[in-house]
Amino acid sequence: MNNIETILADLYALDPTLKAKDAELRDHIQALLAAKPDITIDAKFASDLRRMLMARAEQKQISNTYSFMKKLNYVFGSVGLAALVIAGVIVINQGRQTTQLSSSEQLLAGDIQISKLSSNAFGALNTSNIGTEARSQASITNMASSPTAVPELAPNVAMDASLPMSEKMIAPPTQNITYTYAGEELKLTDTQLDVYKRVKGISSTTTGQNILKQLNLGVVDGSTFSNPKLGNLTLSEDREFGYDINVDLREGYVNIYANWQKWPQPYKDCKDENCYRAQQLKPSDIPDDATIISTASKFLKDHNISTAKYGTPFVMDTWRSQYASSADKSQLYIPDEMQVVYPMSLAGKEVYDQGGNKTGLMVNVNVRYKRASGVSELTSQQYQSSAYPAETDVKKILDMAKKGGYFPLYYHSPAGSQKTVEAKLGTPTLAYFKTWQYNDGQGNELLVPALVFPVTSQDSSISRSNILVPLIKEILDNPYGGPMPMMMDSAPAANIKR
Amino acid sequence: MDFKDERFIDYNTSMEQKNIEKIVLACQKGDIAQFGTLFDLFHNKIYQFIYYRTHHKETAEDLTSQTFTKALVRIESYNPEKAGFTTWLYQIARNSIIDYYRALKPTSDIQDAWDLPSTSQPAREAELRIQLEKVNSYLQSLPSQQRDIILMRVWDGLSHKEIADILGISEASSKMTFSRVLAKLTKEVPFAALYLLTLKQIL
Repeated sequence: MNNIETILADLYALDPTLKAKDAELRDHIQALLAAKPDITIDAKFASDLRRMLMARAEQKQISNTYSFMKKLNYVFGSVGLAALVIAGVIVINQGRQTTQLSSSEQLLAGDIQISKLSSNAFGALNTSNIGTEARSQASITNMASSPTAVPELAPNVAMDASLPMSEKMIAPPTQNITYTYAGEELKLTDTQLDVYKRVKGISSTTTGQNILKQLNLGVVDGSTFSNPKLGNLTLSEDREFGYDINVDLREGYVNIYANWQKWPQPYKDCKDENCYRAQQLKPSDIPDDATIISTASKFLKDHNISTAKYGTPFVMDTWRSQYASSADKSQLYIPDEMQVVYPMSLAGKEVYDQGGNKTGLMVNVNVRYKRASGVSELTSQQYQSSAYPAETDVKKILDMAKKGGYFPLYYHSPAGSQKTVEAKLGTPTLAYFKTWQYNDGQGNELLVPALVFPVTSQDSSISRSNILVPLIKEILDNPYGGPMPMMMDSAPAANIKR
Repeated sequence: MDFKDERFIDYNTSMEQKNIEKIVLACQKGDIAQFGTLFDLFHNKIYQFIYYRTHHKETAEDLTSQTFTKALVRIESYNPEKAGFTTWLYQIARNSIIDYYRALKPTSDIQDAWDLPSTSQPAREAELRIQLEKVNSYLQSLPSQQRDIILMRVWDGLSHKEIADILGISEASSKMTFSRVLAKLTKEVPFAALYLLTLKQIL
């Protein structure tokens, strides 16, 4: 029975006299049906929405499981559970029994998928509340990469007074840097811009259950745990130049490291400085960038790690510029490992780290042994996007750029030098920078729209090539803290606030 | 023209409804991954339901997203003894539409896009505007509940039981209203209007 017949049958059951108007009623119902908009949901929207809902369903399940475990005062925490799962894999691989992950069960999305959410869907972005860890990393990176550039604090850098003293990093005084904008006139018209949040991995209940059901550790019966999920897995290749593969399903990444027990250790028998120096690589030992990239790309290809969504790879070769500018070249350490970056793009824009460097998939190449020694930032590529209010005040943006951007780096000048270093900022490009949001003790990786200003300077101590200014108001209005100036000998101790 | 519509399924008596209730029960017991199956079954119907009442693609998408998100969050609160899952989901969708229009026009009693005068519907998509011009007078003159009953029965393919549960009226009342409105239309709407309405299909 089709629609019209069903509707008419209903009508006649209620009022049989309407049958007399059968023809008219048919015409009217048919007319109404004819006017019905011929509309179908957009397939991409439906697909994105489904992914978003399933990610949320997964979070809900984790939350429910967590609440359940809390109520029962579970003896084993999640770390312990993950350890059991790993042990289970080892036991199972030793041949007692086998367990299989369905080939259709993709735990980490490899292709970029974006689900659009409503505005402000991630709540408070809280990126300035990232504590000392990320701040220290930015500073430490700068300090470690350049033996000639010890961090300094520019007088025009505002301190984050909201931080407790214990969270401020102590650093030597820094020199003045004057950034001058020399680019084209800027216009900012977007009042809202999308922020992206990487959806973490999907822990597998099925796999966790399968493994634990078959687990017999001797000291505990794995099958007694309810609804476990596979959270973390580490596997080691047992061969010369083998690798450790660490899969973190909760955070959604895979890291590959050299299994050092299976790699030669050139310094292991060294007992004095001369031995170390003798073993160190020389600049002539380092192959050209094309060879290093070729080694990295071969490793990725051999392991079916797609580079299709990344840009042209390049080698992070800061050691070369340091070597070139170093007065005593014999003291400079030339690393065994070179890092190849496969720069990431999202929504057609490049992604930068907080130091203003392009970031993406990283492959370490051990140039001593001419083989890849690790892969990092191999993450699930599922994102959610949500629009947040954006800054349109060009003066405000440029003012922050002239202070060194949202993440200023601090440079040391030769002892006693009071000179001001000048640097120029070129016309910026719109990109994203990677940062972290901390809410309820959980960290989320965010990609935030920002203007990237290219830096040029005659002074070789200014090694950074870009500075970043976020375009999202909430982030821009919450300044990122900098290092705490070191108290000089002349400073009265009584003035130190605690 | 074949007006056969797959949505005309009496969910309350079909095997599909029983399967739906099983899936919902699995979700409530913790197998939340089963929610994907519910989404697959209902996303197009819910989107259409919302679109018929908002006349705007992006708004319909936003409200569809809201509907399923609310359903996911509240799935434990669904009680199959009170109503079928279909009814429960459509209720969420309908409330989302009402909330949307209340936020848009907080001082007016507007339930959906049909209550808006055509001059204040800049968001209505152009192609749809032309098509709906033909039924505007046909449906806009009806009180919102009568119009809802007509649309739910004819366009959304819902049963009178489901319509009654969604609107909080009796099944008999839904049937009676539907019958009266149609009888009235046969009296009041001239054949010329019908001709215009059906012309699109003939062409």
